Order: sequence, then C-alpha cells, then structure tokens
Amino acid sequence: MSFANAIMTLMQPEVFLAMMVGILGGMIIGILPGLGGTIAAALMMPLTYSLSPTAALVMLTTIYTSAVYGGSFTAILLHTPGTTASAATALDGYELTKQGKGLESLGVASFASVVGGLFSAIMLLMIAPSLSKVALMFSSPEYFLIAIFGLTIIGSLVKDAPIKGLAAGAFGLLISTVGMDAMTGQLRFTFGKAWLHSGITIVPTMIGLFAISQVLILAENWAHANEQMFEDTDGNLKESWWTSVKRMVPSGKMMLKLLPNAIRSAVAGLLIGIMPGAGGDVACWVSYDMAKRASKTPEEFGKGSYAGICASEAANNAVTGGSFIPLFTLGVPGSSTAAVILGGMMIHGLIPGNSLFTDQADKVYPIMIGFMIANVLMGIIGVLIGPTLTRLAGVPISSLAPILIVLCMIGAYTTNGNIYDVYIALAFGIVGYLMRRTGFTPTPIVLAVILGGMAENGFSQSLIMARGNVVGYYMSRPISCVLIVLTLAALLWPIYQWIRGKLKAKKA
Amino acid sequence: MKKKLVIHQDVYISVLLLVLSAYLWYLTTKMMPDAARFPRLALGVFVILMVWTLISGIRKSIAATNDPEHKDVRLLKWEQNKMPFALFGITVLYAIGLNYLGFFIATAVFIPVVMLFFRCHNWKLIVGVTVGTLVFVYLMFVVFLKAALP
Amino acid sequence: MKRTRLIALLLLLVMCFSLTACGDKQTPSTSGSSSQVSSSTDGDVDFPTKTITLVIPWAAGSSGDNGARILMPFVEKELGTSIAVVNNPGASGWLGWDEVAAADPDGYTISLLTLPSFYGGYMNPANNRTTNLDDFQMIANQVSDWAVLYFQAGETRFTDFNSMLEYAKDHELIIGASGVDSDDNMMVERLKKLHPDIKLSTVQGKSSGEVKPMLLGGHIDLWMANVGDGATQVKNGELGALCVFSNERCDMIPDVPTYNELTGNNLVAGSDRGYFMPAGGDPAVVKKLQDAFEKAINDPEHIAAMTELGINVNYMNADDLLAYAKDTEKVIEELKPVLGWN
Repeated sequence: MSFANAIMTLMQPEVFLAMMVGILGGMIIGILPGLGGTIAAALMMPLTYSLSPTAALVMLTTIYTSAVYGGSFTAILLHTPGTTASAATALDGYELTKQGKGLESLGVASFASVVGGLFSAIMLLMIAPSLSKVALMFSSPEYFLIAIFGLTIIGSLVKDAPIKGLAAGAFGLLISTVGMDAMTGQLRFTFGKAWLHSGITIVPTMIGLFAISQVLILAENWAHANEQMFEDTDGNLKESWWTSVKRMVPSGKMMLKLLPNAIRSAVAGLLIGIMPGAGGDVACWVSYDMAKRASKTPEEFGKGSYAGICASEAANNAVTGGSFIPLFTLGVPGSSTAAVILGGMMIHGLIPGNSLFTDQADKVYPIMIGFMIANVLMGIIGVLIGPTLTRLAGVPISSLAPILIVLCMIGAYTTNGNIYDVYIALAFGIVGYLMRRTGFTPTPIVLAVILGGMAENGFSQSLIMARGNVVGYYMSRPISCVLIVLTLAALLWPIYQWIRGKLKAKKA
Repeated sequence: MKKKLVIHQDVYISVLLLVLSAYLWYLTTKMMPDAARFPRLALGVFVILMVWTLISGIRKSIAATNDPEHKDVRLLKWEQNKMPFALFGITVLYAIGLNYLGFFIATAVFIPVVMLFFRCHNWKLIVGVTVGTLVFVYLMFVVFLKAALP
Repeated sequence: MKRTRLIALLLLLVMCFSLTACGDKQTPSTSGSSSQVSSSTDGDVDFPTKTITLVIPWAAGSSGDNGARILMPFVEKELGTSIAVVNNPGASGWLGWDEVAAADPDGYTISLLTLPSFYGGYMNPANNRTTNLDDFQMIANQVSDWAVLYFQAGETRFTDFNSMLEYAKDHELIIGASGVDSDDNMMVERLKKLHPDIKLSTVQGKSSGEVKPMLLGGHIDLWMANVGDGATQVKNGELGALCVFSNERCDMIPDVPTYNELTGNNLVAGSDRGYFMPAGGDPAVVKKLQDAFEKAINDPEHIAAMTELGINVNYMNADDLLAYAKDTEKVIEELKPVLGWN
C-alpha cells in the first residue's frame, strides 16, 4: 500500500467531506458542556452507515479528536470544560481569559492539540503493532498505581489550602464508591435508589462543579449583568476578525518554547491512551502535573500559565491516536470513545487485529493518514472560528447564564439519557459554589471521581491476580516498580524542597 | 470591654461534615467487608482532615474573638449569596419542569425568566436568545443527531 | 453590537449544518428500493401502512445495535415498509424497554431484546420494577452469541478443557468475567456449580473489553466471554478457546469442541438478541411481523453478512424464544444470591 494510493483515496470528495463533517460536528459537540468524544461518536454514528468504510472511519476518528479539541474552547472562555478531558485546561485558561488573554490561550490550545494529535497519529501509523504489546504489559496493578500517582497531583493543585484540598479529594474518592461494586456486587451508598446503582459519573459531577458553580459565581455580580462579562482590557472585541486571527496564532518563539512541553505531554497522553483502562480525563491531569514539576515557574500554574494549557491539551489529543493503537491491532478499545468507534468498524466490515494491516491495508492506511490530516485541519478551522468564539466573553451574563444552564442540562442528560444526572449536576453546582466560597477547591473532587474507581478496581482485581502474595506480585512486575518509585518521588519531592529551603534559610 | 464571640465558618462546616461522615461510616458497617474497605479508607482520611479543619477553625475563632479588628471571618454573606441562591432555585424549578413539561416548553419559560431576573428589559434580546437557543438545540439534537432530550 | 455577534454565531452554526446536510446521505433505514414486494398475501389486516419504529435500548455502535441495523433492511424488504431505528440507551436498557412496554401494541413500535441483560431490570429487587417478560410479545430471536471459555495462546499447564479441570483441582486459576451480574459471571457460577472441585477465583472487569487485554497480556488464566468477543483472535492464534457452550459447534470457531460433547452435561448459554413488541397486539399483526422476521433472519445474505462480522445467527421462533427466556429466568432465580440480587 503506497502512500500515494492512500492520498488518492483521501482525495475522493466523499472522504474529504466526511472529514469536514467530522471536524465541525465533533468540534461543536465538544464545545457544548459535558458532551465529549464518546457521545459525539455515538450520536453521529448513524450518519456513517451510508458511507464507504474509509469515509466512515475517517469521520469517526476525526470526530473524536476534534471533540477533544473543541472541549478546550469553553474550558478556556467560560470555565466550562466541554469534555472531561479538558478539565485541567479550565484552571489556567479561564484565568487567562479574565486577564484578557482568551485569544492567545485558544491559540496555545490549538497549537498543543495539533501537536498532540499529530504526534499520536504518526505513532499510530508507524509503530502501532509494537506499541500494542506495551499496552498488554499494563494491567490491574499498574492501573491501581497510575491512579495513586494521579491522586498525588491533588497535593500540588491545592498549595493555598492543602488540608481543605485534600479533604475535597477524600470526599471525591467517597463519591467514586457510590453504586454497585464491580467485584462483589455490593450496593454502596445508594439509599435504595435504583438510579444510583451505576454510580455518580464524571460528566454530571464536572458539569456541576465547574460549569454551574461558575454561572452561580457570575450571578453574584448581577448588578452588572447586562454589561460585558469582562473588561475589554486589550480591545480584542473591537479588532477585526483578521487581526484577531493573527493574534491567536502563537508566535514562532512561543511555539518553540512550548514545543518540548507539548512533546512530553503528547508522549504521556499517547501512553495513557494506549492503556485500555485510562483515557483523556486522566491524561490531562498527569501531564499538567508533569509540566508543573518541570516548569521553572510552577507558581504560575493555576493563575494563568500557557504551559498548563499546552500540557493538558497536547496530552488529551494524543490520547485519541493512542487509544486507536490497541483498537486497530487487538480489538481492544483504549478509551470509551474508541469502544464506540469499534462498533463503527464492525458494521463497516473492518475486523480489528493484525490482519487489518495486511488484508485491509487499502482501507486502514487511508484512515490513519486521514486522521493525521484531520488533526491539522482541525487546528486551522479552530483558529478561523476562534475569534468569533472569544467574543462570547463580550456577551452579557444576562444572556449567557440561561444559555449555559440550558446547555449544561442537556449535557448532563444526554450522556446517559437519565434525568437524575441532571439533578446530580445541579446538586454539585451548589456544592461547588459553596466550596469555592468557603475556601475549598472543587478540582480535587473531579480528579478523585475520575481516579477513585480506577484505583479501587485495579486494587481489588490485583488482589485476586496476586493469589495471596500482594507485595511479591507487585514487586515482580517491572512497570509496577517504576510506578511505585515515581509515586514515592512525587510524594517526597515537596518534603525535599521544604528541607532544602530550611537549610538555605539557615545559611542565609 | 465585652468580647463578642465569633465563630469561624470552618467550625460549622467541619462539624456538619463530621456528622455526615459518622452516618456514612455507619452505612459501611452493613456492607460486605471487601466492598467496605475502600469507602472506609476514603472516609477515614476525610475525617482526619475534617478534625484538622475543625481545630484550625476553633483557633481562628479564638483569634477573631480576641481581636475585634480581625477580618478573617469569611462567613458566607447573604448580600453576596442571595442572587446565586435565587438563580439556583430557579434552575431547580427548571430541572423539575424538564421532567414534567418536556424540554422545549420548560426552556421557553426558563430563559426569559432568568433574563428578566438579571433585569434585562431588552425584549428583542430576550426573544432572540430564547428562540435562538431553542432553534439551535432543535436543529442540533433533534434533527441532526436524533438524540433524546429530557 | 451584541446581536450582531449572536447572529454571527448562529450563521456559523447554520453553515455547519448545511455542510453536514450535504455531506451525509442521512438515515440508513429508508432504503425502500423494493416497496410493496410482499404486501398482504395472507392478511385481512392492512399492516404495515406506515413506518415502524425499532427502539434499541443500547447506544449506536453497540453489538446489539450493529446486528439490528444489518437485519433491518431485510425485514423492510419482507414487510414493504421502512423501519426507523431509534437508539434510546440508559438504565441498562430499561429506559427503552419501559418506554416500549408502555407503547401501543399496534405493531409500529418494536424493540430489541437482549438476554440476559434484560433480567437484571426486574429480577434484581433493588431496581424495584415489575415489568417482565409477560408484558411483551416475542417476535423472533436473531443472534445467539454463545459463551466461550478462552485461555492464553501460549498456555503450557493445560491444553484442553479436561486437562484444565485436572490442573485446577490442585492449582488456583484466575478467571476473568465482566461484572458480578454479567452474563459472563453467570456462566462462571454455573460452571463452578457443575464442577465443584476446581479452584477458580474470579476477577471482575466492567466490560469484556476491559478483561480481554488481561488475558492477552497473560495477567489471568481464563476468560469467560462470548464467541463475538474473541473468535477473531482465536482464528489468528492470539487466543485459545477451551470450549463453547452451544448445542453444536460454532461455525466461527469450528475446531473448538462444545462443553456438552466434552462432559456429557447440558449447559448451553450465551447472550441472545431477539425482537419483541408490547403484549396485547392484534394476533394477525403479530403473525405478520413474526413471518417477516423469520424470512429476513433466515435470508442467506443476512446470515453471510453477520458471519463475516463473527456474529452467530440463531433463528428461534417466538414460542421457542419465550420458552428459552423463561428457562434462563429460572436458572437466574437460583443464582440470585451469587449475583448480589437480594
């Protein structure tokens, strides 16, 4: 299968159009609060049934990556992550928007998303089969340890009020235990309510804690509700569209500065994407934390750091290509969105496995190259519509608040088609508001809900796999050992810094 | 001079949450031991941190009581919070309305109410936002995606 | 100013929609090339006169959904009408089934029945639901995805089912299943009951997709799943299969013996997908639907399309399906304590 043939296939109007529909549809659904790649792929799946297999799969893979990208827009502009994978983006992005740097933040997010997506697409094209073997080395013990490693991030997120932050994390872990325990079938904290059996899921939790609480905070300022939301400090609302586009594209210097960060985050995202048990929601936090630790100015994180946006966005888009690797080679979806795409592959007669790369190479290579191209096109389209979207910041609260609430309700409802998820989102909305007004941070709850189930499941499963010798079992697994060392380092690093600071103070 | 007793909000919050924890702990006693392990771990950590918050809250209260000028008592203030709470109340009614009236009727009522609540009297804008949102949702979710709405 | 911005936004959205509207040829179901082929040969009832709605209580792209979408064009051909496929996922399938149970039994609302996931909705008391099999009228069964016991491709400790039984008498084996109340775990429990002397510890994942890499990576010894979950890997030599829990050997994996032929016991189960409608419909309408589904499911083209995807077509008529479903119901009743349904 030559490269030229693949390009020829992609030049067909049907395939190209499918790609454009995928980019725009994915981006719009991604932008809407709570609706992410999984629901985007599931909702748009019926559109692919009449397409050729190549066009259909190009569309589905494109939807995934552009939904993840679209999620960053609302995260940055409105503190309302469009997808769970953009939760970490909201921390710095919204701070920058408040400083009048929304456009530049979107630019960095676009740059990072393209780098992350492109990197993962190239890896998918080049070394998918060998990477899939890596995926199989990870199992329950490693998932448990990755979750624990992820939870150490809470410590670095809540420097201002560590006790309250950690308490929020513990509370989040508790929330993750609601529902039926997969190992024992025990119902926990369901209070006899059937709708709590499947637990409290991350989408309504995040919508409530981030988006609805944000609307409530905006409402405090109701006397000014009919004015613009933010001071137009640098006049970007008055600029022409073209000037805005030029401002949005990061400068070459900026790109060079962020490139190491983007690549590191993309590698982390790719690896997490390959693992069947973890997806973009985990990856954005892990690489955000990595970027913070590597940064020379970690104090900027959470107060408006481009590096933070770059890390989160590069990682979550790299997850998309990563999750296709075990999907294509083993038939094992690397994320919940990939699981939906697996259904799409089946109905178009593409049976995953190594034979996909030999017998059906004429279809698969165009799909992978199409996915690569889509990642770049998505960034270009994003930059073109970005300036229009940033003007959202100029919409008065009185118009924005009701629209946001309506979209949040849809987002909470559509994921599971469950009205109770709407109530859960509302409950977390008021909880999140009260937390933010009493010195707690809601972010650790989101992180703990994402990681809590993974930690518990991984641990209970590994207990059985270990056949009674837990410590020996973990020690016999090289990847586990590496993860244990990493976690210990993450925990001991602040203590080391503290001691070093004391020693320096003594000398001085 | 008679000192006025000031109680820091952290005291109220932590006591409330400690009572809740006690109840949740009681619930874990009825679970299978394997299933109760993880919730208890999380609860244990939570309780320790809440006790810590309680102690520091009491300290802050003592400090605030002794020093009338102390301004670190960030009690939730009604003037600041009444609007968010009112908006939240409207939203809860909306969510209930979603269940009984269906999405489009409930939303058609909700958006103008919230906009009036924010004292927006520009009728053209109100109608525009309401109709615009409804049309967008209809096209996007009903026509295009065929998704279920509340 | 503000309004122009809003209008700009809306325009943008409209642009997207018009683009998409050109791009896709929309809706798979109305293929309608051959309408009125077989209209009213045996009927005094005028059915169908309008579009039939098939409610699928699972998401688009799920395994049940895929099979249904492949079948529907064949049913459309038989009935001479179009069928709109509507996905209504949620509450483990019961969001859709509750809706269908309450629908008019005029034959224009039908639904996909997936067994055994259907049972949990009313047999687990925690769900507090009384709707059950009796509230529906069976039409036909389309697919039986038989349960299969998989093992690692490079396994040396045992080579077939009987040597596994021998080995497991003295050594603990780790078996993967997808959740305490999943069909896979029901099979593990039924197997344990029939072979009380083997040592099996179960690792529960949330889905078969979560458990499969555990076996592929050699982290567990056995995996209880269905034919569709791993038949491709068995063909490619990436996984092995000890036995299949069907009456006859399965075309997808013809070298794998059935459990019954190996042991002489009778244990046949899997996950089944059939079609049903609300109870109380006009018998003539029901008959028409049943006949149409029978012809469509047995259409060689349909069987070929399904086999290519590794899905095992197993036609059962309405009575057989109901009897089978009731039998399974009894088995599950006994398993309730193990499944945590009390």
